Order: sequence, then structure tokens, then C-alpha cells
Amino acid sequence: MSVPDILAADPAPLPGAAPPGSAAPGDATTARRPWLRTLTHSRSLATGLVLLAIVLLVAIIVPLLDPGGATRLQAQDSLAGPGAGRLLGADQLGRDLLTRLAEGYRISLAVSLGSVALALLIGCPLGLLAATGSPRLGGLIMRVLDVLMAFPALLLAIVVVALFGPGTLVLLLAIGIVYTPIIARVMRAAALETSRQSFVEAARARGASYWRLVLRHITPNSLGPVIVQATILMAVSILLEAALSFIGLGVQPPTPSLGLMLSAGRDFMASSPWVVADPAVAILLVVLGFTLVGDGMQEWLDPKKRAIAR
Amino acid sequence: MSDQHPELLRVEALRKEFPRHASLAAKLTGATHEPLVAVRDVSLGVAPGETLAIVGESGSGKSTLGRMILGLMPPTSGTITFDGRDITALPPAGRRALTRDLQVIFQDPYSSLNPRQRIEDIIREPLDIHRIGTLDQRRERVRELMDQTALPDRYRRCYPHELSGGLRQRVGIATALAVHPKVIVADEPVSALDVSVQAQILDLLAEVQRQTSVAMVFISHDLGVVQQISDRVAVMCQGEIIELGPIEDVYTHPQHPYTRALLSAIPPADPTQPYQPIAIGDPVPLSDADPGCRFRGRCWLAEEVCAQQPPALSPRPSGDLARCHITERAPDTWFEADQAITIGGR
Repeated sequence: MSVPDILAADPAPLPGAAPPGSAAPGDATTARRPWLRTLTHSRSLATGLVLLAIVLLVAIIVPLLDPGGATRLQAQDSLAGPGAGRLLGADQLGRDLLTRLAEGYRISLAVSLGSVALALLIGCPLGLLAATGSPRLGGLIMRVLDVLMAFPALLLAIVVVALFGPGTLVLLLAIGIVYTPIIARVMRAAALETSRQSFVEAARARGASYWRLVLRHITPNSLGPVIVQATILMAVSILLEAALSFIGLGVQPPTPSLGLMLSAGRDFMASSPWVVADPAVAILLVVLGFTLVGDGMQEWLDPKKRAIAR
Repeated sequence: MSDQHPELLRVEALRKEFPRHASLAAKLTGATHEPLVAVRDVSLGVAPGETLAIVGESGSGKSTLGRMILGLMPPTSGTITFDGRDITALPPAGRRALTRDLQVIFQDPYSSLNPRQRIEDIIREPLDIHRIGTLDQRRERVRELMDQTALPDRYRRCYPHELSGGLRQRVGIATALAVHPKVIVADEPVSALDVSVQAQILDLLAEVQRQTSVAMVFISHDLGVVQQISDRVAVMCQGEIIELGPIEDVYTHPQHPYTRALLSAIPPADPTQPYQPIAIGDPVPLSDADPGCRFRGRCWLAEEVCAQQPPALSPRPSGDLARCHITERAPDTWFEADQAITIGGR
């Protein structure tokens, strides 16, 4: 999702949007607008997008204000409380927590976006192939993915990290591998359901090729659940990244990460709660944002429900 | 009738069996399961420009027949020829090429249109598939087709859910016509629509056929609907054609008790006329190897001979073919002598 898209989520009335009720059914000129209007109608989608927009703005702008601030040590500010100079306080080494949070957001968002994109890239074609290919091929693909799924997510990620050594890229790869079977299963289930609908049979009877059937008819009508699942997985991958970094298998210091900050700050929790509270709230905000967007997305993606919201 | 014209589409001894899954107990005792015969050696032909209706109750095999003609389901045995060419088991590429001449209209206009395609894209798709003309020419053709099927231009960029059932079925018809096919298989094209809309769609189909002289296989369970649009009618029952002939002959002189029962189920237009549908109940299951008439379990005319030998599809003086021992003996008088009306209430 690009920045302008998220910014467009502002629930304020949009300039040029027709007043509700003026959209005549079947009128081609107003038929193009309802997606915008749904954003203002679906509260969870709008709230989630606003949250993510704030997170993204913080991640983009704050590090620009103080380049290098995330790793600059200032002993005199050690465990400084939130105040005028340091909006969110400083950690035990005197590093500005707001700047570190923003840097951590960058890494967390990159890891979650990257891992989910990787899972989509591998999982969607696998799921489609399993649903539309020969039953034997489909069975083979699904059994292999079942084996992957049998491992608990965290354990599987730890195995990947143990194989390749800790690091941000490995983290992305590990989470992506954990997610691939989840995406593939959702894709397959949705594609199977869509293939049974009569418009797919109609297209086949009209001479559509396999690729046309899959790309024009099955995929666009099966992506809804996959996108919702992907959005929810983004939230989970923020948590997974935090968990892996917390136990030292993810992002390596001094690079800031939300999980790492939680881990390092837990010794000072009693005396300086902000050291832990800041990253914790930061995780909460971004996870909540992704979850709300995932919930609202289903409605926004379905042209039928879009019409109802109108 | 079909003998006078070179036939466009010919179905010969077409048969479709569905295997029945054996229960565990049956597997253990070694009992063999007969497959379910959905279409039983059906033969018929369609001449260029004519409308052949296939009518029958649910489970009579009419839709299975249509699906086999469309290549959506392989027949167990028998052949299908199109324009003299055997199309029974075409490879995928050949089957796709054939769809230029053989198109389809589906029953349910709600689920047979892709909800994520705009109306113009749906209608254009067959042109895209067959790479006919440039993009501009295809768009022009879409406009032409929408005009022909009385779809107002403002729906061009709408999605299917924004249209009513009747309008959607017009989209289905426009799509089927896009590539100028020679035959359209219409599987229950109006049964999902309101009666008032049904009439409009039937009128449209008749009008379209007058303009384009496309031949049509019109599958329906409703003889009343078929009467408006067909040249000939094939009545199917339990997988077999039991009567086949010109529509007027079948309507005025039905040569099979099943046809008679179907006709009695059409409510008379005049409400003061008596409406006494003949109740014949559900199909009586018969072994595939049974030698007799498959309809005898529900037939009020059945005699001993019906259980002993299968009736053949034999020509009758009125011009149709029918499969019945009893009416064969008295093709002109059985209808008048039949006491079915009194049985009707049972």
C-alpha cells in the first residue's frame, strides 16, 4: 500500500464526493466512487488506516530530523524521563527512545512487509496450482505444506535462524517461510470455492484458456480472503519479529528493533517504566492498525458489499 | 424434418454413466454397483437455424446432455459431430477453437457472470478469447450487441450485481452472440427469472434468432416456455428420449403418456378452463439391465408387454417419434380414449 493511499484514508469528507443518496444505481459516473465512500463508512478500516498512517509518518519523518540519533550514546541522558527535549524519554545508554522507536518501526515494517510479500509471492501460485492443477499435483503440494505447518511458527523460525545465523534478512526469510503454507492454504481454499461457481464454467464453455480462467476469473474472485489473511499476518509478523529479536535471534544490536528494545529495557522496568512502555505501546499501535485494516478490508474488496455500504 | 436439412449438430447414441461409490459393506460382500446412467443412448440432430427444445423433469439427463455437447463433461460412449466433424473427444485447443461456433447461455444469471468484470468486459471476452478484430472493433461490437439485446448503454461500465436478473440474462445472451456462433446451447435460460421477465427474454431470443439465424438447443423443464420458441422438441425421461417431433404435433397429439402428463401440468391461460395436472410421481428406480419400458412404474397405461420388452422410438402418423408400446397400437385414438383425467387427482 502506497503512502498516498493511506493518507487518503482520512475520514474527513472528501472534496467532490457526492452527498449520500445521490448515487443512482447503475450510473457509471458514480459507480466509480463507492470505494472512497466505504472508507468513511467502515469504521475499523478507517481507524486502522489512520493508525498505520501515523506509524508510517513517524517511521519516515522522525529519523530524518535526527540522523544517527538512534545509535548515538549520551551518557548524561541515561534513563532520562519523557520531557521537552526527549518526547518519549531515553534508554539506559541515553539513546533517544522516539528516534529508536521510529527506526525500529522502519525495520519492523520492512520485515513484516517483506516476509508477507515473500509468502504471497510463493504461497499464492502454490495455492492456485494446488486448486486448479491435477489432483495428484495438488495433493503433493498440500502435503509438503502440511509438514511445514506442523511446526509451531516460532520453532520453525528459530530453525531457519539457526541454519543461516541471526540477521534482519534471515528474519525476513524465516517469517516468510512460516507464512507461505498459511497463504497457500487460504489461496487454495478460496480458489477451489471460486472454481465451482458457474461463471468459471461459463468461461470454460466459451473457450477461455487455462491461464485466462486462472488469472481473469478465479484469482480476482479469490484474493479477498488472501488479502485479509495477509493483513492479519502483518500484525503477527510484527509480534514474531519482536519475539525473535527479544530472544536474540532477530535484529542484532545496535540496530534498534521493537523487540530488542523490550528485551533490553526489561531490567529497568521498575525504575524507568517508559523504557519498556514505549516499545510496547508502539507494537500495540501497529498491530492494532494492521488488524483493523484486515477486518475492514474484506468489505472494501467485495464489490457487492461495497454497494451495500453505499 | 431433420432429414431434409444437412444437420449442423448431431448426437449419436450418446451415453453418460456416473459411477456409484460402493459402501463398505458392499465392498466386503463383493457386490458390484451398477453405475447411474444419466443419459441413455440419446440420438438427435439440430439443423441450421432451428430451435430444438429438450424438455424433461429434474434428473431426466437433459442438462447432462447439454454439458456433454459443450464439452464440459466427457461422454461414456457415443459420438457428437458438428458440421460433419467428430467433436466427441477434442483436445483442449480444438475445443477452444470450436467455441467460435458453439456458444452457451447459462441458467442462473446471478452466478454465471464474473462479479469482478464490467458488463462490457464480460460481453467482449469471447472476442478477446478468439482474438477477433482490434480493440476498437471489439468495443464497437460490444455496443452493437448491447443494442441488439436492448441493454441500455449506461450499463456498459457497471458490474453484474448492479443489474436485475433480466438485464443480466441479456448480458448472457449478448456474450453468447458476440462471436456469431452457429449453435447456442441454452441451459434453462429463463427458469431463474420472474414470469414477466421470462416472456421478455424469450421474445428477445426469438428476435435474435430471426436476425442471426443461429440454431439453438433450448433446455428447459417447462413445456409452456418451450412452446413459444421451439421448432422441434425432444422429451427426455430417465435419460432417454421418449418423444421427439415438431412442436405442434407433440403439443396437439402427444404420443407418450409422459408427454401427456407434462402437457397437463401447463396451467390453462383461461382460468375458467379446468386445470387437472396428471400426477405421475417420482421416477421409479430400475436396474440398468431391465428389459422393459423405463416409464412403466409411473404409467397408468402399462400392460404386461411393457415389462417384457423395451419400446423402440418409432415413427407415428402425426410426424413424431415416440417410445411407447401402448400408443403405438392406437396412435390416433389413445389420447381420446385415455382416462388419465380421472386418475389425475390420485
